[in-house]
Amino acid sequence: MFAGALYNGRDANAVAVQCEAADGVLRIRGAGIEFGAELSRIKVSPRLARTHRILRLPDGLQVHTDDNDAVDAAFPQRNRLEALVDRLERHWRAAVASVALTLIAATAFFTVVLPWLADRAAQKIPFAVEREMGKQALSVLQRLALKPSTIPEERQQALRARFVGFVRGIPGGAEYAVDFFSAPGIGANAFALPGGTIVFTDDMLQMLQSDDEFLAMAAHEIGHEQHRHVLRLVLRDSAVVVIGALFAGDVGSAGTLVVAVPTFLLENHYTRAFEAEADEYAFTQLAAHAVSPQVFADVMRKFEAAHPELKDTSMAYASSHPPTQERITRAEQAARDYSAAHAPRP
Amino acid sequence: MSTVELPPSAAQNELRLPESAPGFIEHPFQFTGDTREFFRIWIVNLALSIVTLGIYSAWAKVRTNRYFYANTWVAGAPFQYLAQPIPILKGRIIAAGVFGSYALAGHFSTKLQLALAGGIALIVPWMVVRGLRFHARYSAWRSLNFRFVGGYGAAYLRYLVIPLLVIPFTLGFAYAYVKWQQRRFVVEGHRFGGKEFKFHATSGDFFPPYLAAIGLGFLWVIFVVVVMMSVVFAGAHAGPPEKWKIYSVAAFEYAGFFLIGIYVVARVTNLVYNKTELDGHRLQSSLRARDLMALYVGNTFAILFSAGLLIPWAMVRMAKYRASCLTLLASGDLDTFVAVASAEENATGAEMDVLFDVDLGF
Repeated sequence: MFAGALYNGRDANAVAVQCEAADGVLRIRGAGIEFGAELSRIKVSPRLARTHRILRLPDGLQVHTDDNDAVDAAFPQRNRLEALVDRLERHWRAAVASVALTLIAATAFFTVVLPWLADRAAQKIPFAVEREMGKQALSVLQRLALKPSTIPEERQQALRARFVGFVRGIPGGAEYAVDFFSAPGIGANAFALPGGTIVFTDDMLQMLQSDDEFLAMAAHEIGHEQHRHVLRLVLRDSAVVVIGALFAGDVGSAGTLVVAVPTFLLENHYTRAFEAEADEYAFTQLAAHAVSPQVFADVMRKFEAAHPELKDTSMAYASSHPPTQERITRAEQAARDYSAAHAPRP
Repeated sequence: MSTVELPPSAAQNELRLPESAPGFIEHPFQFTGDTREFFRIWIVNLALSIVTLGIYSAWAKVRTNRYFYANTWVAGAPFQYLAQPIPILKGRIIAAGVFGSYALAGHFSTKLQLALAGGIALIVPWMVVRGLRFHARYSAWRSLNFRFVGGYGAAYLRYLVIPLLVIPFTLGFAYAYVKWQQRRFVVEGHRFGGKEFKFHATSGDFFPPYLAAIGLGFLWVIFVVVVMMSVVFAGAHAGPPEKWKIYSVAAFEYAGFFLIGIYVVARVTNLVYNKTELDGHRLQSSLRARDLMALYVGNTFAILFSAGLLIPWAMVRMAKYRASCLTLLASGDLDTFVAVASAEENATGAEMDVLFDVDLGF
């Protein structure tokens, strides 16, 4: 037996009624009202906290009631999914478990599942698309920031020759090219465009004292391209943004900041992982070309200890490629391995 | 029934009632949700959404909306949210597909992204109408559904043609006029219980809040530039300033725009509600810009420093405040509303507006 308000489905008038379920029928009684409706023909809204339940009777009639337990008793086995969810929602233990589960599942999803899916998708994208991306990016950069290089032609030729010799043996080596630009607005920087063009700015070349240091930087950038980092980052970031926007809808008024902060942290996380991967590639390739990874560590130190006067030019590269102690340590470890392997045998 | 026109400065925080309303019965809105209760609902549904890779999120949305509707009471009865999860799930999949291709396109080809942006701009009015129809169709009070009957032609006029024609030629000053057109379209397109909503605001009513916001925005930019010059670059040695200084000035500047935005929300929301009529019944909204700012700022920091765990607290707090500022002024019997049949609606437009942040107002 439970109390409710009966609506006739035609107007906003409510009539107070008493309902009782017995023998497959819901008996409804109120002032001047008495009738029955088959339980099997009544639709019941799922339970949710203390909110009212709506029983939809045939012919558009509705009974609204807040006696949730009585409704559940009269209509067992209804909305089984949401009945289960409702039970979970009422227990603090489930809430605590949900906090843990959310943290673990979200971390696993964003650090393992999503990168894995994005990387699989990246493999399916044809190389021609990537080359087109690179061309577009270069033409935009040329319009905005890159001007013809002022490095003497002989020096450019020499570096190009070293570069060609360096990429000859690697998979897809023929696709790789190196380009030099004067870019005061960008400062000392080197980056790989999708499709295999490696760009060095004049400021960067001036910081690099030897061809080996140039190769060390080039090898790192080739590593980015070999692992298709730009494409993978684009796919991961886009997925994070879309998922973030979907959840921001649920988050409601708190909106953008809530999504912006984790997105930023995630992007940073992906970038760091890619830097480490490109470093590893560079160490291996340098060693294969009889250049010690120590050169790489030296360049990193140069950025780390960049002279105050140089700061404005060196910062650009450093901000996208943090010269952390961790990276230097790894480079020096690789250098020790290299020396051990190349030591004159007794 | 006339409202008292106050000069903008005085009207800023209290928009007065339609003449202390003789003959009106006041029915204050009330939000009865509970933070602890909603926290459990929120976190359980979030966890389920994540472990089902987002599929359950449609159910989560329905339960969340049902909780907020069913805990919002007026005149002795709660609101009801009646949408079903499956149409919402379908809408979400389509919306995520469109939004995803837009987000991706920019990385591959700027032309493609521009084309997509143009395409999306072309369907915004369609999204607005679909979204309004969906929300109205599945919102109810005392067993009667709301309805939205505004047409596509009118929506294209107000959300595409008029903005494109008017805003560029007036350097943006006609923005208030465009907003008025849109709000009028939204309010007057709604029906409840067989009765039409009427909108009594004139385009002139919309200019003070938006002009005030533009003025405040200019003053703020000048102030920020002065602060930046004097604090950041004072005694600066050669070379550009450090990064954190640039970022904090930018953050400072955005914080100002954020507060100005909230000021506009408070004033325009009050304006829209106070000038809305349904069959002789009126609404009275008394949001105060400074209360709303305190709420938003407090919520933002609480959410950031709790790693998101205080989101439900923030949502309940906001709903409580908003309900506490809204009163239904009934001109008589509320039992006279009658049911009008309306067709089912799909959720595609309704889900897209969330992703593309279309301002549906109301």
